[in-house]
Amino acid sequence: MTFDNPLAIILVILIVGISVAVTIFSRRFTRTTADFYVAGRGVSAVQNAMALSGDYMSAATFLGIAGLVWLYGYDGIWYSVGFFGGWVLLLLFLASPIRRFGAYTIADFVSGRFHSKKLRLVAMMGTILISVLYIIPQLVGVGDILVILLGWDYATGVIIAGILMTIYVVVGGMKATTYNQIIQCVILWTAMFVTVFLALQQFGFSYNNLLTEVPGFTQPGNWLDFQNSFSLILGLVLGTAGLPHVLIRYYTNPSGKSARWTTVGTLLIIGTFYMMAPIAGFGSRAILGDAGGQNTALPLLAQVLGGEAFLGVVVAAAFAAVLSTVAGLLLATTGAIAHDLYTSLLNPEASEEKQLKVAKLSTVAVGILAIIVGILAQGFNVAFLVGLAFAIAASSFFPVLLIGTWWRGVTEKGALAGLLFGIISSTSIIITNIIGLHGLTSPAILTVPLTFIIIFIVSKIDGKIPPDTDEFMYKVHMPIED
Amino acid sequence: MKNEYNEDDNERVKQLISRNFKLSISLGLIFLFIILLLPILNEFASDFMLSIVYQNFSVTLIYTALFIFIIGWIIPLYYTLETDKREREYEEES
Repeated sequence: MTFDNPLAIILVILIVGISVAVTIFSRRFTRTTADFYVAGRGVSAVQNAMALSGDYMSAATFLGIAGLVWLYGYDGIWYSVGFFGGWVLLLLFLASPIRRFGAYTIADFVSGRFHSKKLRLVAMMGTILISVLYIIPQLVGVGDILVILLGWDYATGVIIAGILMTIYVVVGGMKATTYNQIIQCVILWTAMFVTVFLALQQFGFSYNNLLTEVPGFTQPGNWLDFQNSFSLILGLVLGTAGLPHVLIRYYTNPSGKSARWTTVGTLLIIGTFYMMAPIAGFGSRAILGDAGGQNTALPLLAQVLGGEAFLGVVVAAAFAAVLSTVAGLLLATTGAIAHDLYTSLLNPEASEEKQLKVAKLSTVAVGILAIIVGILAQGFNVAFLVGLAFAIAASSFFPVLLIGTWWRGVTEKGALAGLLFGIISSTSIIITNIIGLHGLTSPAILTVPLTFIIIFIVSKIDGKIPPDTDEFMYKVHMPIED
Repeated sequence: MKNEYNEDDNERVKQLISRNFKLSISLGLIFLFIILLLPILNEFASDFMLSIVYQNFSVTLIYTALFIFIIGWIIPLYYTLETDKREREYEEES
């Protein structure tokens, strides 16, 4: 291990120090499982909007979009649009109902709707699959920037980041994760803003002048054809509304109304962020030429614009992006294992203390798994990998949650068939694409409509609507302040 | 307002869900149409989408990097204010 950039090291240590301090401070608030998973359901809309933004602005968005725009130009902006657009559908169809149901995990929601252990198990497996697929690119991102910019070897970066994230989730739970994500949101947004400001300064603060320097990069088609761009955007938009680590944060809101305003605030923060990310990407192309990198264009641009000091800031911000996102994903995966599998299926009589202990042990186990897989996944583009997690979420959780929330006629078998089909078909298409059997990079264009059709047909044939459906609908739709 | 479900509320619940769904689905379809129209226009009306509107900004660049974001703020704000209003009215009626 070498220390090529002492300032960057100091800033990363500062970020880590703040996270540790927040974790120690939050520890006093984490006594029950409700505190651990949903911060006692007492997070305000403003706090939650910032925490959700910090959670969502991951390595994929901070490093990946600028990297893709540097590499392919316009086609990289699809990710900005898709990552942003999903929140609109999340608000319109799911934000309030999810909160009003008031549980800990997405499996709780589907299991509560259909009273099915099989559905809980499949939802648990889906949560783990999507979350682990999402964790991998975060660790790849942190490994990439630390190896190139600090001289650390890739595995060291992944191990250090993985251990830190695991510790602060185990010790502080959702409360610490929330506070840390709020701080990381401010760091990320500010770092992107300053990068774009400095990049535009090079061109007389004229976006037009910047675009003049990147001919051939401002039109579509450098990477994705029509079929793949359509499928990608569909997968990203619908996938956002099916991501477990995003959905569980809605349980931390005090009410359904607060959940809606949380989403509006999140849209404002991430919208401005995603408008800036492509400018940073075009700036990287104009200033760095071919000397950028698919995950490192942004930090390399920062180095040219602001020297070692600003490089340190951007590296620290990227580290913050990974910390905040993986912490949220670890909480979602821990909830799936400890709450959905252990407490709900294996040992329903477990004491509060025992549940909390299992939750923390699960976090450690998932943290170790994530570090190992993160080391093995070296070399992938982070935004591309995250897009795959979105495609699975769009094909599985989104259709089931949408139909289950709004249509009385859906049955346990319909939901189960849809969930299983969505997970298996989207995963199969992704794997067969990676090994080169076909050219469809994002499966959503096929799997999303088919999942909806399967849920509808199987429910109609089955016809066994859960007897308490009206009660469920009352609970999730009535404007009762919880 | 009472928190417990009562079978007598069934009709009111159905009406409320139906009203809310109409609002969500119409706004959701408008947004999805706007966002999915982009790759379709890029493919089938590429000359129009690549035409320059202002300086180096083509129709497709303005649509992608600006217009969608503005719509993505207007629709949620309208929906949230409208839903808050409906809930206040519902609570006053109860």
